[in-house]
Amino acid sequence: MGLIPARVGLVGFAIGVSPIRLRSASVDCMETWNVVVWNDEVNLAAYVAYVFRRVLGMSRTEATEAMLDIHRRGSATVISGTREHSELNSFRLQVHGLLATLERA
Amino acid sequence: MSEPFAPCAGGVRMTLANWEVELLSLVPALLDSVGKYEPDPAAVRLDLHTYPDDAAADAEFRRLLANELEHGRAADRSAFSLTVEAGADGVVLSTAEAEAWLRVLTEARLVQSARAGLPGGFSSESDQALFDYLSWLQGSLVEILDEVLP
Repeated sequence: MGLIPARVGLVGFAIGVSPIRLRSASVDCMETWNVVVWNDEVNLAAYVAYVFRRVLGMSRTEATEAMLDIHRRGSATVISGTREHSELNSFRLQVHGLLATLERA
Repeated sequence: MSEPFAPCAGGVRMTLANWEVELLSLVPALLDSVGKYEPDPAAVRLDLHTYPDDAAADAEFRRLLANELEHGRAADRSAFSLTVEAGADGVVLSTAEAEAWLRVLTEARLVQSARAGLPGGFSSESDQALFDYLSWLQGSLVEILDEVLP
C-alpha cells in the first residue's frame, strides 16, 4: 500500500488543533486520487457545507453545490490530488464526522 | 427558546439557559461511553474508514492516525467541558472553541443516531429530545460561524 512514510507532511489535524505529521511508504506523485464524500442521514446540510468551506477552502456557492450533489447522488468527489494530499483531506473531513473515502481517479 | 449564539468581537457569544447547561452536561458521558462495550455501532461510525476496497490500506491508515484522531477529540471535549457551564452566565467562545463545539455536537449526534439505528428511531423520549436539541443547537452555531467566515 502507499500510505504516507517517506515524505513527512505537516498537517493541521482539525480547525484550531495542533498539527500532525503523516508518513508514507511510497508516494506516487503522478497518481491522482479522489476524496469521495458520502451522504449520511445525520449530519446537517449547513454543517457539511461549512466544513467544506473551512477544510477545503471552497466558496459558499461551491460548498453548497457540493453538499447538494452528495445529497442527490449519494456521494460525490469533493477534491482530487496526490494520494498524500487526498489522505490528509479525507482525514480532516472524517475528523469533522463526514464519511470521506479515497478512490483512484 | 432564545438564541444561544451571537457573533461578537473575538468569536461567538454563547448564552445558555440553565436547563440547556443541564442537558449538555450529558454529552461528555455519552462520548466517553463510546467503545466501552461491544458491539458499539457508535464506535464503528466514529472510526476512520478511508479505503473501502482495500482492507490493508484502511487498517494502516487507521493505525497511523487513530491516536491523532483521539487526541483531537479529547481536546475538543475539553474545550466543550471548560465552557459549557459558563454558558449560563454568558461566555465568549473563540472561533477555535466554537468549532470544537461543532465537532463535539456532531460526535454526540453521530453516537446517538448510530446506536438508535437511524434518526427518529430512538427508544426513549429523552434520547429523542437530546438529539433534537443538539441538532437545533448545532444548526444555530453553524449559522453564526458561517456569517463570520470570510
